[in-house]
This record gives sequence, C-alpha cells and structure tokens, in this order.
Amino acid sequence: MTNMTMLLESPTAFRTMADLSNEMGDIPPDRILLNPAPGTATEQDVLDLDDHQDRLCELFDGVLVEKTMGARESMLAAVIIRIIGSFVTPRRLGFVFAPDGMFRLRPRLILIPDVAFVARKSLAGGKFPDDAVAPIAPDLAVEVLSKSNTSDEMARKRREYFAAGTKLVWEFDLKARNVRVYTGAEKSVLLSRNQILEGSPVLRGLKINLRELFAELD
Amino acid sequence: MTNMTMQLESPAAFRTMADLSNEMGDIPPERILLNPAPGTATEQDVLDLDDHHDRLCELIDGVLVEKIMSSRESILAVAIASLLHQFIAGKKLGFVLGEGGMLRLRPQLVLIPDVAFVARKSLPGGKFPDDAIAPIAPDLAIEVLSKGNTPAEMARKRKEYFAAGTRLVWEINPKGRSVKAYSAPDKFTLLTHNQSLDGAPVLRGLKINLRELFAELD
Repeated sequence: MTNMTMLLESPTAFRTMADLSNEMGDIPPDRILLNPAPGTATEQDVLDLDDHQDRLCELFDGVLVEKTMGARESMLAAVIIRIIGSFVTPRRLGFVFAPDGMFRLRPRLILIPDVAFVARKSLAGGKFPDDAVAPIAPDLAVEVLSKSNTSDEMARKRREYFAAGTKLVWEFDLKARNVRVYTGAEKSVLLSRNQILEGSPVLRGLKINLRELFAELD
Repeated sequence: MTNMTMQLESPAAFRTMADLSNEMGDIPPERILLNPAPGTATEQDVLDLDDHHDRLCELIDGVLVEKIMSSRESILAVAIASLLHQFIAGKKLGFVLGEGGMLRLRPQLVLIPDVAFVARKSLPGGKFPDDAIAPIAPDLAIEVLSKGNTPAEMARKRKEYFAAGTRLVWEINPKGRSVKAYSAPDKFTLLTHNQSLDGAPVLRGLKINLRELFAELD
C-alpha cells in the first residue's frame, strides 16, 4: 500500500538510477548507498553506519554517500592538521577536526570534510557543542581530492558549505600538487606548489609553504 | 523507525548502486527505477506504472526495470507476431502475445517478452487466464535486442524463462540481422542470412526465413 501511494503521489515517481547518479554528481555508483532507500536516510543512519559498520557516509537530503579517502590523502590531511593546529592552539583561535568530523550544515545535509576548523568566535558562548554531529558549518573546510570525487560533486559540496556559513574552502589536488582556494562556491584562486597558501580570512597570519607541504609526501 | 529496522534485519541485497547495477546485468542506469525502493516493488507497481504512467516495466525480484523498444525493433516484433499468428490460425494451437504481454514466471518475477506464444496444452483447461499479469510461462519467448540490452541481462532472462517452463527462446539481433535460437539458457544455434528459424519443438512446421524477416526493415 505504501509503495503504491508513494508512486502515485510522489513527484519523484520515475526516479531512476540515472537520475540519482546525476543528482549526486555522477560519482562512482559504489559510493551511493541504497539502504536506507535514497531520500529516506537520516542523521541516525550516518551515526549507525559509523558505529556499527565502520563506514563514513555523508548525507545529502536523505541520500547516503560513502566518503573515500586513500592513504596518501590521509597523509596530506594529517600534515595540514598539524600545521593548522600549531597555528591555532597557542592563539586559542578555535578547533581543528580530523577527517571524521561530522557537520550538519542544514537539516538532512551532513558533510565530513577532510580537515575542518571552527573559530571560537563562531561558537555560541565560545564552546563547542556536544553533539556527535555538530550542528554548525566549519569556518574552513579542507578537501583532499580523490580519484572518485567528481567536479559536480565538489561544486555541490561547496554550494552547501558557503550557503551554511563556511568562509573558506581549500581543495587540494595531490596529483597536480596544487590547491584551489575558494572564497565563494565558484570564486577561486589556483595556487601551485611554488606559492604560499594563506589562511585569511579565517586564519589571518597563517602562511603555508606549499612546496614544503607537498614535499612531506615524498 | 521502519528504515532502521529494515537496515538491521534485511540482508540488504543491494548495499550500493553498484551492487544493484551489477545484479541487473549492468544495464543503462536510466532503466532501473528507484521508486519503489529496489527489492520492494510488486506486481501492483508494474500495473500502476502501465495504467497511470504509461511505462512498461518488468519486475525482477522486487526491482522495476523499464523495458526499451524502439520503433525499428517494434517492426520486427510485429512481423514475427504476424507470422506466428498466421501459422496458428484455425489450428487452435494456442495464443500469440504481442508487445506488452505481462507474464508472471514466478513470484516477484514479471517479464514482458516482445512476442510470445503460449500453447493451449500448457494452459489449465486450455483457457487463457483473465489476469492482467498472466501467471504462466510462454512456451516460446521472443526478444528483439535493443542497444540498451546487455548480455548479462539477457542471460538472466533466459535462465528465468527456462526455469519457468519456456522451451524455446529466440533472440533477434536487428543490427547483425541474425538470431540466436536457444533450447536452454546457454545452448543456442546462430542463424543468419538466408537461414530459417524453426518453430520446433513448440510450433512444429513453422519456418521463418530470416532474409525475408529482416527485409521488413528495408
């Protein structure tokens, strides 16, 4: 009965696998979970998958998408965390997150950036919330691109980040050894390994030598 | 609540979109419906989609898969149905079904062959059932191949046909102007050029010349 009702009333009656793939930015199909049914997944599912199945999935309006991160991407994330941490800690500027920090940007939208920074002044009372999924947008989100990330997928994430209040997004391309610095969903500057990555406007004064950064991977 | 219960109890036949794609024979993703959730669709959904949305979908273990047939393939289907019909006329041998004839081969398995023949002696009381989806397997099933059909998909259909009692399956290849006549899921004779399709053992005496058949397309 429920199925019939859904079919006749739902505007997504003909949703096919191709539609869903397209909505998700045409990422590899093995990253899109079908259980729970796409469109019906919740924050609890994100938590359950992590707790019980050790899978990290982001949530896009009820669709669970598995996060992938290879060893080298993880390596770069670790280096960035260390560098940002060294800057942030003595100055008590805020909090740095590893590649499993969950952020609810809006209802049914949970992203898990590879590295994130939340400024103390962005927090109510300067305190970080207790929730498993933080109900806030990070001030800085860092994504280290993997082979399975598509440009449509990343564009969508950026739209969500900036709409939710993120001020800065860094997208690292390991292969090309560069980083694209976004101050808006489609507003970016490309920096190569010969340049300096600056933390402004979120972490003023932070300067990262990209050559040294990428050299740590060798 | 229901989703969580489903997730914990169900063996989750399709964990990701890649699993589902694989199970369905890696057919084009636009043919696989996500509404109702794959694995939960029923015969009623098949009927509703046809009645209310004018879409012809087969049902494969709870997954709705849209049937594709272009006009060219339809020309061949009609030509074959016509030849079959001419052959059986007046002989009371059985029934010829055209495109759109829905057959339940087993619970949760509804196929819609492009052309089918059901022998009278295969029917209880020699009468064709009244149901919208006839609960019978055709004695002869004919599929006209389209670009969107994959070998894995057709192999699976053949398995289902023969397991349900079908005795002969013809796969017509319009592009190659050839036919594979199967007497078992993986046992076929390839016919081309001026050769003829033989209706035995289902329709003894029926012979369809391929050159003449494919000439219908010219």
